Amino acid sequence: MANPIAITGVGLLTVKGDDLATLVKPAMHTPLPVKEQESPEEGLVWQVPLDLKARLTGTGWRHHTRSALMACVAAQAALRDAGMAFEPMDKAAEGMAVILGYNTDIFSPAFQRALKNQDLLEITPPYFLSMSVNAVASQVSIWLKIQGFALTLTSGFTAGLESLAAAAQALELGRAQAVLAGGVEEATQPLGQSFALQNQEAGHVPGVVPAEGCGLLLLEQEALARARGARPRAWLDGYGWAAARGAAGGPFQTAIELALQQAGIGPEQIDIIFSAANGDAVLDEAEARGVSTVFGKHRPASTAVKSWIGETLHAGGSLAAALAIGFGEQCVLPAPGWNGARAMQRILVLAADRDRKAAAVILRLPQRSA
Amino acid sequence: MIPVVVTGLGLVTPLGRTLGASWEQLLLGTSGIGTVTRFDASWLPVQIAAEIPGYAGYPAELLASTCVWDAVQQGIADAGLTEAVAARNFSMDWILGTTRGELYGFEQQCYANWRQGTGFTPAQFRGFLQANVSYGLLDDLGDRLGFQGQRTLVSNACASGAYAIALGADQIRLGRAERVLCAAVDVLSESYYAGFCGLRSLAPDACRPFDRERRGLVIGEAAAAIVLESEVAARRRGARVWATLAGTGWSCDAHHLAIPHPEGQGTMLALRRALAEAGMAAEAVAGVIAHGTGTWGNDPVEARAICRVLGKPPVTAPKSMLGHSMGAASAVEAVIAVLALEHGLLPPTISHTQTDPECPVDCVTAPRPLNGKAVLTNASGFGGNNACLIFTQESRRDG
Repeated sequence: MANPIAITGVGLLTVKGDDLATLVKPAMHTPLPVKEQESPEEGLVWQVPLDLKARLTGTGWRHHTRSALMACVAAQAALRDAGMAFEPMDKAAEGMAVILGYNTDIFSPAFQRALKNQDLLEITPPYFLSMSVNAVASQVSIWLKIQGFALTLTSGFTAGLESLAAAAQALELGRAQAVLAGGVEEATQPLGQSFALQNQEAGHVPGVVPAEGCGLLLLEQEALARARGARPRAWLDGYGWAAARGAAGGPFQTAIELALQQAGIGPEQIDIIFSAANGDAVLDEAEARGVSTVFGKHRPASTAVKSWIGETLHAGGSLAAALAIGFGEQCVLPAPGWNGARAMQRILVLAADRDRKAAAVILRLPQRSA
Repeated sequence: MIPVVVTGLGLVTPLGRTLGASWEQLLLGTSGIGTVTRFDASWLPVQIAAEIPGYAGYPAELLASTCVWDAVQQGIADAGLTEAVAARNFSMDWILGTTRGELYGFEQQCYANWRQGTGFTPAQFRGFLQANVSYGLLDDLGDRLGFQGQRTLVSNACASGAYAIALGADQIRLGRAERVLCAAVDVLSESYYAGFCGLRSLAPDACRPFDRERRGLVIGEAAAAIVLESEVAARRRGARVWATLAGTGWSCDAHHLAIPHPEGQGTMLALRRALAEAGMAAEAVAGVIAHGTGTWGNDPVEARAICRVLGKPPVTAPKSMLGHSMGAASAVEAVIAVLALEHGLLPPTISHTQTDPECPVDCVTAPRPLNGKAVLTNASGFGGNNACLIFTQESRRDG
């Protein structure tokens, strides 16, 4: 990219916590088991074990969905990490934008009950407004007075990484000076049941383990970031999207090649892969095939963070990117084949919707010795 | 930046299931608004909508995908790409905007289950997730079209369609794609209809944008498709160029989920950004296809923003005829803007008899000749999302 895109802030929420420095420690990397349903009301999706409202300043959070609360907490953390004001801003920020991967909450029990009872009162104005998929990105914008724009991508499992790529595009074109980008996913019971059924049909043990999560990164035009005294934690050097099932390596091959091309590097310069693998045989095999096609026998070590934070759908790609920065800075990795002898400077992060489509992002970290 | 042109259009609206039929009825000032038939609205305080005719026999869970498929097929054919798409021998990115996907079908399935005394099963949920709702719709259509490039689903409330088009244009401007199919769709949904009733946003009889007697919006259905190409790629293959997408402007009110910023700050920002990107003076805008919902909240704010930034260009609001098709509306209005340039005519705003002094726009109430080369569309949505698109046609003569 002609103008480097710097990542200056990271905010994340996982089922294992929200502190990046803690999340990179080996004790956190225990496998996440399938969640047992202990009561009919309880979902099958792991939740973020934090008091979200307690982490937010001000009032008026009563009508915010859990997704909106998670996104606001992560946005606050990312801005704080970037050395920017995290309190609601004093004046409108026209140069800042929000891009969020998120899915609809139409499957919530409250919504189904309202339909079943045909009771208008159950679809209250606050509830109705929160049904709008873009409400979460807008609530972040409203809280922080971010006027640049607010964009919601609902493309599925790739949306978290797509958000980062869309942010890079917006920065390249000068649509914003800084973009909070990433994804969020909230636990819903039908979602858990759906994955349970998929795992059961496929005979997977444990299969896909769904979980809540949110990962937001602050991306800035590097020159502007440096001008305000910020230090880039990483750079976004390349990205690619594809749905090319026809290629030998499927959509993964095309997405990775596009990202490498844009970054202006060869596959041998990738130090580590943060995989999209989530325990679903279709996805995992598609990724393995795509990666093998691009890297051949010299594929770098890879790690699948979903084994310990779960599959967070729309948040998956951005959470992996956030964790990649944390692991890269510490040069530690819970991955077979990783001996720590090589600096983690260029990291390939992948996301995919089974074998249907894939997204790839290449992050570059500041040079340091292993 | 790489110039972006429009080479294909497709339109499915309450006034017709083709581009030509819809345009003809728009110029005639025909209303597409009638009684709701998709579901039993008798329990609700309002029972009118602008439904697309002719889809009565289609499965509910495929209604949105059928509508957008028809629009997309028109767009591809109009761009002269039908054979190339069928042969699957070129790359084309695919961006879809929607707020609800196949929510209507989901609701109907829920009702069927409840009548049988069962809930919504995990298998049904998974089926909807994979094939119908939101990204399933995107991928299902993408697979059917054989598109192997980028696929993105945008859900930015009532500005979804405009954002889908703007994102597609950016892909081309940055040289990431030569050609992008952008589309948007939304069909009626009982829950959304009920939600708007709860907000007291729905008019009981007609949509009257910018009128003193306006009483609210009328929910509609529509699908629209636009093929965008780099100008070089379009010229290389000898494609017909409808218009140039000269600029896009994006913004967020950052004010309230449902209430526009009282001073129209976000709308003005989007308008100014679109003008700046197009390198165009405000006076060069010959016509505005307004968001014009007919609500008390939107119209005065939008009108004042248009007047402050653009002066007093002719303004028309197709929602008076087509209803408000939510995520599809801004894409439909983009197609209308291109057709207005092509035919040199702005379609009328119907049901408008007396302009509200709070909405001081020059509201077009009969087809009006276009006096210039640029038409701007303005869209806003829940969450304060705003998007403006400026289309130009250099071959048009001034005056």
